[in-house]
Amino acid sequence: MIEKKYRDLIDKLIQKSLMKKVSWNKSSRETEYYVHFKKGSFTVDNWVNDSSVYVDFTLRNANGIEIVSQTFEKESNPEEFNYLFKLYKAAEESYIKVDETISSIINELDEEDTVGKDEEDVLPF
Amino acid sequence: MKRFRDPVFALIVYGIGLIIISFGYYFIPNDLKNIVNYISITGTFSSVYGILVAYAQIMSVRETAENTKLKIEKSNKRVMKILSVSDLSKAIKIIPEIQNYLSADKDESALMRLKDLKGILLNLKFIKDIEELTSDEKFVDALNELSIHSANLSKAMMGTKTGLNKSKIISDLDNIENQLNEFEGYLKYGNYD
Repeated sequence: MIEKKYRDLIDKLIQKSLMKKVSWNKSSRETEYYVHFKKGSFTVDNWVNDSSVYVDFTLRNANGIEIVSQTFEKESNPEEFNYLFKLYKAAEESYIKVDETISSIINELDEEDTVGKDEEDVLPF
Repeated sequence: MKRFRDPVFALIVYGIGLIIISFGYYFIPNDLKNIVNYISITGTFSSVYGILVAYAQIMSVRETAENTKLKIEKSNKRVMKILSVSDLSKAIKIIPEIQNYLSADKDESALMRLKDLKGILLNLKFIKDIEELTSDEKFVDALNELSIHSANLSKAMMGTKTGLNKSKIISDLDNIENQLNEFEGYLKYGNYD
């Protein structure tokens, strides 16, 4: 169960991430994303272990000390899992710039010019 | 005012004052010239002079105490600055060590040194004189990154989470090293007093 104060924070993060106004970074784990704040940081992670799927979040203060860290397994805690997974997806999409890439490709496809490059043009030397 | 702490100087000034008073006594009307009035005038002068000297000495002692306090504070600040620079140098030296341990897959040693590094940086946060530097966003970010990396390394070692990207830790440590070098340079050679 996520406490109300953390839920409020996560709600705001989801909202702002969907608006592309959060700079998510990738951490030293392939599936973990984090964001720095003036007085701390927030990480969100999604991973599989022994065929179970998990999602977790950690909030740290300005000294890097953990304030809260909660993990939810998909099977045993589907409601909290899905809620936090929404943030995870928003963070991931924001980091890999899914929407920006798709809209840029669509714009390119809408133009009259030929898209793509010949193999010999790919390298600048 | 400090000169009044010197008894010879105070006595000379008193003597000069007494001569001036005696000279003034010479000009008062003849019917008032008697030994009682002379003693009364010089007595009043002596009392007023005594009070003034006492006041000057109290002020002078206070000034000296304040100066001493300022000098002690300045010297404490300098000592803290030296300690901070020495801690920063220590932290900077730990970074390549951690990178080497990570490259050599010596995760236990890397984690231990990562925690040492975090501890040193955390201690620096409690030195009030360099608060301006340690409350800098870069410093806070570095502390948080170290915490995230040590948590991830620890979980990877325990097997609760897989997929650790050690090269990311190594490259982040490079950035942290650069920032710490910047802080160290600022403390050593900048106008940080």
